Order: sequence, then C-alpha cells, then structure tokens
Amino acid sequence: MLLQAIIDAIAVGALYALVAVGLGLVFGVMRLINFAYGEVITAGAYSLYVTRNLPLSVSVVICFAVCVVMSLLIEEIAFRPLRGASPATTLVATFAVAIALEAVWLIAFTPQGKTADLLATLNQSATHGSVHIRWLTITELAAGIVLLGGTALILARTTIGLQMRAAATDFRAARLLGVRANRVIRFAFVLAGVLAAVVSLLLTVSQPLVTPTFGLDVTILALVGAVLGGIDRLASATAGGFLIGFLISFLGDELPSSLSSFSTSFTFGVVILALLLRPAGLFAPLGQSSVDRV
Amino acid sequence: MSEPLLELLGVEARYSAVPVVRGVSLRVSACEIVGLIGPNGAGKTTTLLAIMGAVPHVRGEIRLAGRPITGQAPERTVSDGVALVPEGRHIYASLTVWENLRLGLAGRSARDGVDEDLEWIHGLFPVVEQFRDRQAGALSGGQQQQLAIARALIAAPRVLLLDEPSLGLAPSVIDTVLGALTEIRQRDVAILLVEQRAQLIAGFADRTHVLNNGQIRMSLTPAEAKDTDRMIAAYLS
Amino acid sequence: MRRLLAGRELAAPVLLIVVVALIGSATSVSTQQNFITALVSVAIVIGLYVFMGNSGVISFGQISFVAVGAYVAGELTIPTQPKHFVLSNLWSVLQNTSVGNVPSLAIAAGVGALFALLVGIPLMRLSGLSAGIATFAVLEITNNLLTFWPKIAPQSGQTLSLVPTTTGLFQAAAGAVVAAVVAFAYQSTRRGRLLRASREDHSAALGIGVEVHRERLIAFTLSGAISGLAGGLLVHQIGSVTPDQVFLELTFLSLAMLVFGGVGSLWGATVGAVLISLLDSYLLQAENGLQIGFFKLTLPSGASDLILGVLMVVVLIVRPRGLTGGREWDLSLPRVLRRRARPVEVAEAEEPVEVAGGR
Repeated sequence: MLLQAIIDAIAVGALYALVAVGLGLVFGVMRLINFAYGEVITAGAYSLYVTRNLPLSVSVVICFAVCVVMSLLIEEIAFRPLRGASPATTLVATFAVAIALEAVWLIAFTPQGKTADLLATLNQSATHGSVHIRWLTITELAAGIVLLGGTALILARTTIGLQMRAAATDFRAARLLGVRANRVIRFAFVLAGVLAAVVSLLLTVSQPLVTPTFGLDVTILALVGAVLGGIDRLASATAGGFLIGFLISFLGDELPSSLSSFSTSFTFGVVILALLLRPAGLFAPLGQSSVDRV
Repeated sequence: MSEPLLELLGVEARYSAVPVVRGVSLRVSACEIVGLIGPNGAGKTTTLLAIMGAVPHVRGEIRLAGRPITGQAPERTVSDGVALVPEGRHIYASLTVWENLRLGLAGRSARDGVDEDLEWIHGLFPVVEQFRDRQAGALSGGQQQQLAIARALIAAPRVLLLDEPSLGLAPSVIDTVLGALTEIRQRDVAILLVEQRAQLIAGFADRTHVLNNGQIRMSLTPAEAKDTDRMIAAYLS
Repeated sequence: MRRLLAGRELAAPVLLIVVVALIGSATSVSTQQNFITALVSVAIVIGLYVFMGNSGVISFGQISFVAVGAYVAGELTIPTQPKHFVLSNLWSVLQNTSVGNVPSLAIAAGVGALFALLVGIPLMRLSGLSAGIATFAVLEITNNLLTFWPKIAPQSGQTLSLVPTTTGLFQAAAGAVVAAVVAFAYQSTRRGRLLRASREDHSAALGIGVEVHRERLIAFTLSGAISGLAGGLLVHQIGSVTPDQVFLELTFLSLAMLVFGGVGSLWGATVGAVLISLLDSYLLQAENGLQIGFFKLTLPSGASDLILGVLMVVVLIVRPRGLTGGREWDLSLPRVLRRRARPVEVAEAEEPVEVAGGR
C-alpha cells in the first residue's frame, strides 16, 4: 500500500530528523561528531526498563533526566579534554566512548537486552479502513513537529540560542565578544539530551527490546543522513536525517521481496550518489564548494 | 590621566614555535588613545589578541587596572571590561544588525544602563539603528565597521581595542569613526588602536608606538608624527 | 650506502614484526594464535595507514577490501568437492577455480586493488566528512552484498568455512613484512611525498600542480591491495569468515589501532596494531578466565571492549597524535657514522588530518 508506506516513512523520517538535530547541535558548536549520542538514547531506553514499575509519568521524567545527565557527562569527560584535537582523533575517541558504554550496557543488562514496553498502547491503530495509522505514527509526527519547531524557536528567539548560532558560525569571534564557550556547549548538549530522551521513548514503542546497540544503529544512519543533507547547518542536517529515515522505511516497504534484503545497499547507494553530486550537502546553499565543508 | 587602565609588561606571544610578539611594553590610561602602527607581520594583531587571551602561548604580564589578566579565557577578559573590534570586523553576516548587537551584550557585566548606552551608541552610529533588522551581510564595509564598534561598545568596556578599523573605508566614514573614538575617549575609556595608516593615527592618537618584528621600536607624539624620516627609520629597523 | 640509509625507517616496523613472530613461536600453541592475530592486524592496519596516513582523508571503507580479499581467498582455496555442495550458487569462476595458498593471497590482493580502484575513481573527489561517510557507505554495501548475494558468498550471512588454515606465524609475519615494505616503498617515492604534501595543505599542493585526485586514487588502490592481502591472511588464519567479522567492529578496531599508534607513520601503524591486538586478545581470554600467577582473572563478558574503549579515550586525551606522535623511528647506526638525517616526519604543529573549513 503506497500511501501506508509513505505515511510510515514520514514518521520514521521524523524520528531520524530528531536524532539528526541532536547530532547537528553538537556538531555546530564543537565541530565534532558525537558517536556516543546513540548511547544517550540507549541509556534513556534502559532507564525506562529500570523504572518500569513506577508510574508512567515518573518513568518519563526520569528518562529525560537520565538522558540530559548522560549527555552532559559525555561532554565533560570525553569532549572537553579533546577540544583542540584533530577530526580523526575525536572521531575515534567518541567512537571509543560509544564502544565503552555499549560494553557497560552489556555487562549491566546482558546481551539479550531488557524489555521496556511502557508505551505499548501507542502501537494501536488510530484509524479504521485500509490505511492503518498507529497512534505511534501520529505521536512521532507530532513530536517531530513540536521538537523541531521548539528547537528552531529557541535558536531564533532566545539569547542562548543566538549565542549558539553565532558559535556555530564562528566560535572564536563569539568568544571574543564575551560569549561563554562552556555555557553554549553545555546548552547544546542539554538540548541534544532532551531530544535523545524523546527518541528513546518513541523507539521503545516499536522496539520494546532494549539491546546494547539500541541507539547506535539509529545514530549511525542519522549521522549519514545529516552529513548527506549538510551537517554544518541545522536545517540541512535535519532534512538529511529525515530523508534517510524516509528512504530506509520506504525502500524497506516498497522494494520487491527479491530485493528487500538489499534495501541497505540501495539506501547507501543513494547516499554515495548524493554525496558525489553535491558533496557540500544536498540541502546546502547553492554554490558552496566542498572544500569549505568540514 | 593617572594609573594606566591597560598595561603590558614585556609581553611575548607565540602561536607555535616562533614568537610573534617579542617583548612589548606599553600602557594606556583612561581618556587616552594610544596608536600601534607598523608593517605587516609586525605583531600588531597578535598583541591585541594576546590581551584578549586568544593566543595560546603568552609570557609576561598584562594588567587591567592593576590586576593581571594574562592567560585568562577571552570571555572572562571581555566581562572584565576589555572589548575588541577585530580586523576585518568579523560581523555575523547571516544575523541581523540587531542580533549582532545583542551578541555584544554577552560580554557586558553591568546589568543596567543598557538603554542609555544604546541611545548613546545610536547617536554615534545612526546606521546601526537605521538598519536594525537588516542582515548584517547586506551592509557596506563602512556600515559594518560601525556595527562592529557598536557591538564592542554595548559591552560597556573600560578598554577598547581596535584592529585596523580604517581598512577599506572611505575617508568620510573614517572621519565618522575617528570622531566616534574621540567621543568614546571622553567616557573614560582607554583606547588602543592598531592601524596600517601610520600618518593618520600618529597625528590623531595621544601617543603612537611603532611595532616592528614583535618589538616596539619607537614611540611618537602627534608632533613628532609629522617627521616622516623618523617614521620610515622606525619601520625599517 | 644511500639506499641503506633510506631504508632506515623501515627497520623498526620490520624488526617489530620479526620480534613478535619470534616471541610467538616460543609460546604455547593456543597463545600463538594471539600473536598471529597481531601480525594479521599489522597487515590490516598498514592497509588502512597507506591511504589514511598519506592522504589525511578518513576512510571507513578499507575493511570492505579486507572483506573482499578474505572471501575471494577463502572461496578459491576451499576444496572443490565440498564447495559445490555448500556454495552451490557461487559464480562459476569462483565455483570451479581452486588455487593454492600463496596464489590465493596474491589474487586477494589483486581483487582488493581492483575493487578499491573502482570505488576510488568516483570517491576520491571527496574530502573530509563526506569522504568518511561515502566510504562508510561502501562498507555497508559490501557487507550487505556479502550477506545476501548468493553469487559471491554463502546465503544469508552464513559462515564461509572449510578454508584451509594456512596462516601460521611465518605466513602472517611474511604478509605483514610485505605490507610494511610496500607501504614504505610507496611513501618514499615522489608520489607518496606529493600526496603527503596535499595532506598538509590541499590548496598549496593543487597550486604546485599535484593532481591530488590521482595521487589519492593510487594510495587508495594500494591500500586496497594490502587490505585484500590482509583479508586473505585473515581467512586462512581462522579457516572461516562471516560478514560480521569484517564489518563495524573490525573497522573500529583497526581505526583505533592506527590512531592509537599514530596516524602519520608506518611505525605508528605497526606499534598500534601489535599493542592493541595483543591487549585485545588477552582481555578476551580474561573473559574466559586467565591464569595470572596464582590467581585466575575472569572478566565479565564485554569488559574487554570497555577497557579498550576507556584506554583509547585516555590515550587520545593524553597523546592526541598517538603513541608515536605520527613519526617514524629511525633505527640508525650511531651518530658518528650517520650523515645528516632526512626525516620522514609528518607530524607538525597543526592538524595533520584534513579538516576543510576549520574554525
């Protein structure tokens, strides 16, 4: 069902867009890829498991708290000491953090994973008829709109948002104006943490089994999408994340069964083509050369 | 005036292995404009950046109203009361004029008096009020320069550092800028002005130092500034 | 004399390889495997280094060349009879050809090089992050195809087994030495140096007429060859291979080994591979219980990743340029006999790896 596939794909796209925003926010101020972002999402999911016997609202609040704290901790422990290092170094370092954290989950929660099915009711269908829309899909879309809109508003209207935008464009100049580097960076990580919490909540609905690689898979794809779109600008990164999510879901549904196991190849084939055609990012402003990009 | 607001004592600064500033000492007091001129690569910009804390390796002492600020993070120095108008202005082209100005507020430590200061700034540079909601990138070079100074001023600095403000500006705009500097000086601000246009500044500032190869070769009063031979000698030394 | 002196910086990596092999030969059979793994890792990491170290471009795709090399070498050396049964859908070329051990390694290197060349022609135009992502995409596609395309590999990611285990200490060491010699030869040539120049300053290199795209392609292809060879060594060590074994975890591990040792030098690649590989092996063994003196150390499952990850972060914080700082080690004759050294040092004050549009 084409319409069904499109609707589902849009919802998945919204989810990936949120992850892309989280990655883009941190990249904007720090110019590095936060591979460990997936672990924040995983942490949120595991916290839902740990608090599964508490009232739902309490679980949700704790989930947000865990994600924000986790995000800030990663910044403090892994990113801060690496602030001047080369891209290869920070890439490997954040990946190492991700691997280390995955091992922690493995040890603490076993490789089989734990179930966190707090919001399973969202899996129910909200519509009748041939087009089957789950409450989850509606929630994902709504969450996407609200959070993306909210982030955009924060960036556009608040002082800290203004400072973040300035820092993302030229950090040095911003500091020379008195913008506090640590404050801006921490705020980016807090926002990213909030977004991660929402993603972890939504992901556990369709994937109640939380395994150590829970967040990593989404993060890697969202990262690919963000770079594809143009990670140096939040808007293009978000669009790229959305596109990847959409593609993965849509191709997974619509490819003929003989080819469906190759949906990964198709998606990444599209990625390569897009990068070759527009290395500065699909949604980057025209005329921007790839040399200017990080 | 009395004690200097800004003092540099034997300051050495380098980015990597090679020192760019090799022992500079100078002082600027409130209500003073001190000029810093010299050929390209002399270390003028680095001196200013060293004061701001933006150069990784700095030796010697930099004092603000007697208190050492060497090695401080730039944002701290700004909130302590030193503002920089960087070379090339470094305006955020994609932000509006007003947003650029608001950024300058980040370094302001005095909570109140913002409206009064704004009024004064608008008086100095009417274009800033006029093009409030325009994208800063759409402004002309001269207008951007005025915005850059306005942005520095909104932080209510005690010391104002300017790096080549006349670069690429038409003479009429330069006059506006210099006039503004004179007014700013009246407000007990200490001004350190780096410039390429030697003659212009030497005749304007209370005192002008000639920097060459990282060291101060000569200091000139406005009267002595007319002596071109001396100036050339200093540049070539 | 000049030749001898020029080979100075090769001495350290080769010596280390030989030492590792010698130590390995003196240990028990089971421990020997750790040393063989270390040597195979050296080959893999040198493959990675030849491209990344010289061009400064981050690539996540080199392991796909290892994968291709492993599968090709494996499939060509499985005895034909069981092959017809187990891998009935393979391409007839792979189905019907059977070669010996060393030829399979050579073919693995060749196929790796070819694959790299094909992939590199479009991809070498990219830099920085887009190159990283594009090469990652290659890794994903290769893995996907090796898992689900019956013409080149077993069905649905099943293990390719029955490969003769011909990689012992000698073969592994020999392979590693070959990799080191080839890498060193390349970086000593004018081409290699031109590429390194582009790594320091892309625009300047273009300005003096360096065809950066072509030089990168050459390094990439060479890297493919060495990686393919390493893949052949790998599959002949384990006797089997699955797509997952040559995918994300190996990519991270090899990248970590290189960065840990120092991206900019062959010596760094060798040291990093040996140290991390041995550490990883021992940690994995500790998860199953390791006898240390009087007591038995049993780490919880997964602790090896944790320790390795933490160690990696700590080292990178303390020595961001890796253990060797990206420099070769000059094991030369005493100063009195030496003429003025010609350093192959690539480490410099600023960022060695490409970051276009930095802050």
